[in-house]
Amino acid sequence: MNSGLKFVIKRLLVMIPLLFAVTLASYLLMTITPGDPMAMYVGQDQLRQMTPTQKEQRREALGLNRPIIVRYFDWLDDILHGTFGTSFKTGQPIEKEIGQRIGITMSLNIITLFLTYLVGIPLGIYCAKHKNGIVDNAVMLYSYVGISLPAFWLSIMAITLFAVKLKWLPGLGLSDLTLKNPTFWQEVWDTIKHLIMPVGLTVITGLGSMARAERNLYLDVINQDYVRTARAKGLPERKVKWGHAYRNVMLPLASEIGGSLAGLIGGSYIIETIFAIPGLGAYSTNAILDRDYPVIMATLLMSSVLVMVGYLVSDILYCVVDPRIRVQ
Amino acid sequence: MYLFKKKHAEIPLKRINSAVDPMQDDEDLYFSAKVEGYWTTIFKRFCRHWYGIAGLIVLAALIFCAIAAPVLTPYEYDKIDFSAAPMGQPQPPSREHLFGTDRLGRDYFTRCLYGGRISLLIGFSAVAIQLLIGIPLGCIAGYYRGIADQLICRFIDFFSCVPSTFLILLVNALLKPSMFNVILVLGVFGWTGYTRFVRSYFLSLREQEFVQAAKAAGLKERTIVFKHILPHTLTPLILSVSMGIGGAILSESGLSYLGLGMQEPIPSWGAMIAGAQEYTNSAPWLSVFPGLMITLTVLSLCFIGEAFRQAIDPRAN
Repeated sequence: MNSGLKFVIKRLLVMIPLLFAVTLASYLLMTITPGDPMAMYVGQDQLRQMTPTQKEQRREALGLNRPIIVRYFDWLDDILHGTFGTSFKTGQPIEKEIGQRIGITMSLNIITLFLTYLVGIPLGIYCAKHKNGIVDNAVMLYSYVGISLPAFWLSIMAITLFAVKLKWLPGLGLSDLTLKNPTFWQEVWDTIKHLIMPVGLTVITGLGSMARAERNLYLDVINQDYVRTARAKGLPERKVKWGHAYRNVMLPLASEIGGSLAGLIGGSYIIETIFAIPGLGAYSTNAILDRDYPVIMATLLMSSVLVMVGYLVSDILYCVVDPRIRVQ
Repeated sequence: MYLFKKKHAEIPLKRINSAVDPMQDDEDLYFSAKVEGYWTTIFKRFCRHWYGIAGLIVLAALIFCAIAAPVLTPYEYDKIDFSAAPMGQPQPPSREHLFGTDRLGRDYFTRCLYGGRISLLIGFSAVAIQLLIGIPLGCIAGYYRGIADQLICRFIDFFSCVPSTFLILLVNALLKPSMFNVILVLGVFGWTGYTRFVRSYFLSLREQEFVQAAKAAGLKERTIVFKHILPHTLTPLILSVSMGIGGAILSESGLSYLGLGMQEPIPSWGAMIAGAQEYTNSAPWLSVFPGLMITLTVLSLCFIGEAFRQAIDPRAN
């Protein structure tokens, strides 16, 4: 695992300049937008009540009269100490607000990813084994329907049907606030009921593409020479499948986890907004709609970090499942 | 590798037989025997798949409707007519109004047709911008390698770790919402895929013998890049382009839904769904029709892409 460790450290080192670029981009974006940057530190309401002299003193105290590059490093320093400033809208410290939301978005995306893989992989393998059969063709066409449906429209339709008309599932939020003194299991069931629609819709639309990718991979691998060799030397079919074929089918999947996670985080902006889920996606969308600049900067940085972590995790997984990477 | 040599495709067997028939010792016939061109073969293979033909027909119909919208309907998309929607209540589909009316009495069928204009225009133009940026950068990175390649790759890395949805939402919110800005933002933030694609093709093609031969023959680098290598990447690129147009149309509808794209009274499918949200229960057709139009458009593009993929590489399945 020594060279594997080296590989991971190398990937970590590559992340540093990228992280640097993201912070620089979000800082520059903020400074070219209109408005007094001081509002970010003292809050917009207080800023309006201050006299010009007070403003000048405060500006001096905060160091905002210094050159932009110095201020950038100050901001970076603040971030490294875990302070992102205050939200224009709520006046709350941003790091606290992000802390409450990041877990929700992460767990939502991990559940979605897990379910998509759980159903998509066996479905893809089934399609590959029954190539050009009815199921195979249906899944192929369905995968395109899945990516053609606009997520926001599908969500609205689902809420109208299941929450408003049929009243089977709750439409908004993550928990039922009217529940009085719920037991533990009631609470769990309540959360599951709230998750069925947002998670289910993402899984259903992403499932087809997942199965199709898996099917093509499987067909690629099963026709390789080493699989034929394994069969030729008389290994039982079970060993051929599990020892040689499936393992190599899993390889690219491991590297795709990062990309899928990035895609899911991108998708969560609209899904979370529609289902009123208090996660990072809805938080950033609302910040953009309210022009809440400090929050925009912080969330841009945080979602980029999440995506980078996703890529890092898939690199590590790739390293674990593919010994060749470790040797190189 | 001979994709673009015209006379190389499948020669129908019957023709060959008649051409080499000793009884018909006619040199003219031998050389004038018609052979299929590359694109004819591709088109024939394309037509083998029902979904390719269906996609082509639907897309052609949508484009026709978008262009001919003023002729196809007697209404105007922004004409407010309260007599058509009494008490500000949206009217259900009827003979006069195929898709019903919205709460201002505007004919919904007309608005859906004009919405197609906006969506298709944005989809095609945004992808055109993406290609204009993406292809040259991919050529430079893949052919010249070196420092330019390094710079371009780092740039792509940067874009791949910032969620593009976020950037598109953000920049659209900072700019004034207009069609031009939506096209520009979708174009500027969506080219990295094409660059990566063209670059990877160039990396392998530049080592091939025909490129070395072209170099040895003393051809200009510009000729080698644009006449000898680039055409090989274009066929598979068409596939990504048809998917890309669909993606741009979806992004536009999402932006307009959030109020960051097209503004009233311009009919955009996304904005129409947003406007219909309060009526989903009482007047469901207001949100169903624009949503179906988006799905239909994007799906037809996807089907064309898939049939095309099968046509350029029949062994793929």
